Amino acid sequence: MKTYIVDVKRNALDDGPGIRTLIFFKGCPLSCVWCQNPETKSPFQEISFDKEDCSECEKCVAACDLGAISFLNKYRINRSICNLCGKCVEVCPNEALKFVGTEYNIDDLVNLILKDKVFYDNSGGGVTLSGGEPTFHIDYAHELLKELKKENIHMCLETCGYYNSEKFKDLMLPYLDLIYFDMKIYDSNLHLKYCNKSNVTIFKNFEDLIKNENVEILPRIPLIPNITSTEGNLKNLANYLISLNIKKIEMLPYNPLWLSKAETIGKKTDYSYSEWLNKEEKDKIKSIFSEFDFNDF
Amino acid sequence: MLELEIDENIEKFKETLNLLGIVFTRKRLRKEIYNEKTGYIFNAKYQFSTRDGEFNLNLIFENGNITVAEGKIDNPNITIFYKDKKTLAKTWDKSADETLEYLLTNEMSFEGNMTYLTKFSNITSIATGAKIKGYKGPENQLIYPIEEIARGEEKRKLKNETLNRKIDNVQYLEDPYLAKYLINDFPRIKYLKNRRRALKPAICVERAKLLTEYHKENGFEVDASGNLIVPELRQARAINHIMVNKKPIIHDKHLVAGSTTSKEVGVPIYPELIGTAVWPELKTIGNRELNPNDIDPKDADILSQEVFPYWMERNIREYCRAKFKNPVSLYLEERWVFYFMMKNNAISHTVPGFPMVINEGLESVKNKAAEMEKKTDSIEKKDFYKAIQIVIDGALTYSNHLSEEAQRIADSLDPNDPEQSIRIKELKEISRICAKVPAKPAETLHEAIQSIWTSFVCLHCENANSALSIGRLDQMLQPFFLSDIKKAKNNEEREKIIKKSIELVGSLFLRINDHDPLVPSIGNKLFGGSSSDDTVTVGGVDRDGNNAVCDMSFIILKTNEMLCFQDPNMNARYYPGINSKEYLRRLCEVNINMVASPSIHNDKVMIEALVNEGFSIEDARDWAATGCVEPTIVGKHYGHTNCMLLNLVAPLEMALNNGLHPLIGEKVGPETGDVRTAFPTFQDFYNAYKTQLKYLAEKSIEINNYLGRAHQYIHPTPLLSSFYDGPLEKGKDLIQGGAIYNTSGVALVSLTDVVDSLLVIKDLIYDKKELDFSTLINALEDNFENGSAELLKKIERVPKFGSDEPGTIDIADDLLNYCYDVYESTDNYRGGKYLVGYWSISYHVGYGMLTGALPSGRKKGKALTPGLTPAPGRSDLLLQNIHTIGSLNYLKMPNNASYCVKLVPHAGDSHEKTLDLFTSYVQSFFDFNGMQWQFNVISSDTLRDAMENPDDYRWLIVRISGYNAYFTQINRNMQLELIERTEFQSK
Repeated sequence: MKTYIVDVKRNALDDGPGIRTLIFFKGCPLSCVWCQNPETKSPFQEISFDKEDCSECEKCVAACDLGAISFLNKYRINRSICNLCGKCVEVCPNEALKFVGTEYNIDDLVNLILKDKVFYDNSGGGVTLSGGEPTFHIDYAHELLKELKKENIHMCLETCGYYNSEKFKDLMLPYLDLIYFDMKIYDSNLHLKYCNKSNVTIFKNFEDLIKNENVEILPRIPLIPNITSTEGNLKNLANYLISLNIKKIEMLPYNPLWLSKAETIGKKTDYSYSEWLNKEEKDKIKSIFSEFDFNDF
Repeated sequence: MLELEIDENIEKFKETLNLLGIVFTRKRLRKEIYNEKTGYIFNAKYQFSTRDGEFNLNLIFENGNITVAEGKIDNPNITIFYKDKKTLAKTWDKSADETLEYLLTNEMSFEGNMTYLTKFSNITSIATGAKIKGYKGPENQLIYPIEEIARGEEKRKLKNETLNRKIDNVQYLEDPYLAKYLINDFPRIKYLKNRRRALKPAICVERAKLLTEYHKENGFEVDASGNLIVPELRQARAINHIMVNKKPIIHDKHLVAGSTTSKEVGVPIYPELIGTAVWPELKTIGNRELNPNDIDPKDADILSQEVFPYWMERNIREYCRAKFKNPVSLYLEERWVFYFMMKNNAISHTVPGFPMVINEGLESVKNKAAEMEKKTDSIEKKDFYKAIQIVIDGALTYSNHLSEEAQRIADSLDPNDPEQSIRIKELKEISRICAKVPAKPAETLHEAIQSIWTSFVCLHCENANSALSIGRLDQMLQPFFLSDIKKAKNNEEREKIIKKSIELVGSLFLRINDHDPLVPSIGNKLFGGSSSDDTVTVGGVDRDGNNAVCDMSFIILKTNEMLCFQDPNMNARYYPGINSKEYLRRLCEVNINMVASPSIHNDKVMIEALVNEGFSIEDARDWAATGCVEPTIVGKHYGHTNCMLLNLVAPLEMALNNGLHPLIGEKVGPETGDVRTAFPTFQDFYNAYKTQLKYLAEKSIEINNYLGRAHQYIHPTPLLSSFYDGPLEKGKDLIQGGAIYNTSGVALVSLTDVVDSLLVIKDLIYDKKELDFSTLINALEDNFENGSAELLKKIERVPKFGSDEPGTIDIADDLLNYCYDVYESTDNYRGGKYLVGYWSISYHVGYGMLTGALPSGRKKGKALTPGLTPAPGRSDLLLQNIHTIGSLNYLKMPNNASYCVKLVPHAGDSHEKTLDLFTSYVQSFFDFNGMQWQFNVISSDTLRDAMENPDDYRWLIVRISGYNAYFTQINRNMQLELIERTEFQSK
């Protein structure tokens, strides 16, 4: 079994306890306008172009049989023509053009992950499945979890919550130790507007999941200016979580660096907020969630 | 420079030499070359020549007269060569310091006795009017106000966890972390610590003067009747003379008596070793930018006119040069870039048997020697046993003098003054203790500590202050701590004894800081920042393999953490699975609080590496670090662990240039072939590198053995020998192979840069064929300046050492094997093995200055890579670095290896979380069989701030490679190298 993985990030220190390896799956059922990892949205391989690395040698133009590459095009590649043959990637001397997504079979991925087992063991760390959306590749994720659990590795999942509950409970949940569950927008219509899917399934899945006592669930709130981090939305989320008797949450502050990443794969959206959260904004958010336990951000 | 200008300058050079003749007829200066009162006459012949032999000038000092003439003379004491006339024209009027630059870059070189060069620099500096400035009196100067030091120290915010349960072999400490104690609980220690930091060390002539005076009276080579003198006896009598006549000093407020020098903080001079190297700077050393030393003008005259002249031929370097007829191996050493031989400066690097002295006393050693003398028929052995008795007599006399001095000061104080009456009590106790130890066995912690310190002082009358190490201090002191605390009747009394123990260890550490090594300008320039490296080791296992981490281990760590001194250089042994994780956690915490101490050793791996070299398992378990990090078996092992530092990059430059070294401009190595045509496969090129390396290694072994023989004649060590198992039984001095183990320790510098360069050559030239040697050589000669941008990018993308990519570790392991085999193939002059290790002190910076651009992409003059650490930027992930270094074969690095990590806690993390992470990194490294871990827990930004505001950071110690240095005292290149190291964030 194979799937596209955008990145295997070793030596990760966030996204779960201890020293971890993060697996970024490629492909997500939602399509949030602010997606912080836009290169993981599509389940297919892509070619990225980073103009910072380009020495303008134009070798790629000559290499492309379809004429998809032009220096008149700021993004270099006309993606409606490109068939991902990869000839441009091959000739690029500076790795300005690169494939996004590498196909991994389970064995190779497991071997790579196990290289760092000593670190997981000594630090109370492990592996975190992230993305993209790991549940989107549920059969592959199942195989991977099964293999890693044989080695007694602490497993963590980061999910948008949009999954088939029955399959999830069957194929993934039994192997997980910790789940970061994204809580984005309380209002269903707004959720549909900004994330391209309603939140009904997500909230239902969440309520279902917290009944389970074998795994720790941490709701995680991405703080996206003007979308999720509005006072109204945050208050609604806070009240909702209180009603479910949730005490501990996690904050995910906005990171504007995604904008340049989106550019490299031609995935710009209308949302283009370019600032980090300032202290005033953070303090306000903290006051809304004053009843909760969360790590400083 | 125009031809005309060159000629004019050369004329000026002649005039200036002539001028010397006039200047030195003046009475005040004349005594530098002719002194009727003392009978000192400086007769010498200097030859100045261009290398092509076109221009020759000579300068002759004869009975107070100076003559200058053109042409060559027979048998000059020294010939100073200039690259060409142009170099001579621009070089001759430069200061001693600048001249050094020309020597380093090989525009100047010399043949003959180097001491004559230093004397010449001294003469020219005097002629050009150098004067001692700013000397204020006989006491050390405070260079910084103590309040300023105290204010800067407040920047150090200590974080301490509490652990309210006993761990390891702890018997009395309820909280082994001793979290509740702060430096403010020890006002005496706090004051003395700040005072030490504020003092400017002063050159001390006491030892040099006594030594010279003894030999002038009694002869060196022959006695008054013309009979040859036995070196061991000569040395014993001279050292006895020093100890007996040395001023006994008990500094105000100190609890431990005795001092290595006559100054509050002194720089002792060993003229038979490196001492004369400071000759050119006698007038200026007080004002130099890095590590200035105070000097009394009278002392400067004593050194220049009475001491140094006597030792011009009788120092190790010059005796070796004359005896072995100016060997090529010495010529290479004096080109600076190939290898550095520590024996010119000192041997010292070892761990004397202090446990034997505190437990049995020196009197019993003396008695043993007397018995052995009676029993043996061998005249040589009899002489050696006599020598032992003579030096021990000297040591015991010194100890008695200390006892008398303590009593004398006590008598001079007013018993009715409340403060003085306390001091009187202390002094009386000191007097009692000094009358007892080290002659007799110690019985209390205070006695044990005094016994160690008096021994240490006496050993330094004989041996240079260069990493003569203390050893396993926790193991030595624990029995005394236990016997003290067992007398306590209740908790309150126990607490008192714990506190007193911290204060006593602090008192010892303060004494250990009473001396600095003599560092000539070249040392500051190329290297620098090194202390005497008096090393203390804690933890690990005992001789039977049991957990040895005890109360005293934690008391020592606590004291060390509060003082934050460079010395004692602290080394901690950690035996995974036997020592507790909580102990490892504490070691990480001390590093967070001290920035860069202690070094943490994988005890299991170190012991295995030692057993692999033939040490018995029990002895291997009893190792302590010497100097930086090198393992030495306490009291059994004379293993000059830092006998040399060899530059592994030099043979690479030679292999690329068919034996020629680009900086030297001479074919110094074997012809291995023109790189453009001679190497069809990578293996062929690699073999050429190995050939050059082997050549240099063999030369380094040869010169080390020659220098060892010079020590046997010039500098035997009867006192040090009496601290060892072996010499008494064998009836011979340590320097003759008297110890049980007789190895020599080698440090190989900058393996990483070689591996990275080889990886680039293999990948781009041989595997991918994207590059050829001609293009590479041109780019190197051009320092990657013009049109090399694309090449540099290609080079950057080649996976290198530390990336953990396939193939990057194999080549390093192969090279480790090769180096090991080359050095193990020959015995040293004492019949022991050469053990190799990988730590670089600061030589990676010094050698870097003298190294051209490298295939790895490193530019000309930049620092090489410290110890066994990946180069900066090789990986963003600490884990890949750790995996790489941990994977190397530790059996091939028995002289230890330093992996140095700059790791910065994430600001948002709690102390607890930071410690969790730090501890897991170190533990994981050791689980991979990594040998030794060194921290720099500091960000590059803070280091930059320290460069800008040194006053706030006098306390800041950083890990260079192996050793520690005060950041504000190292040269700029070293500071930058530290800043440029990869900074791993715990985020």
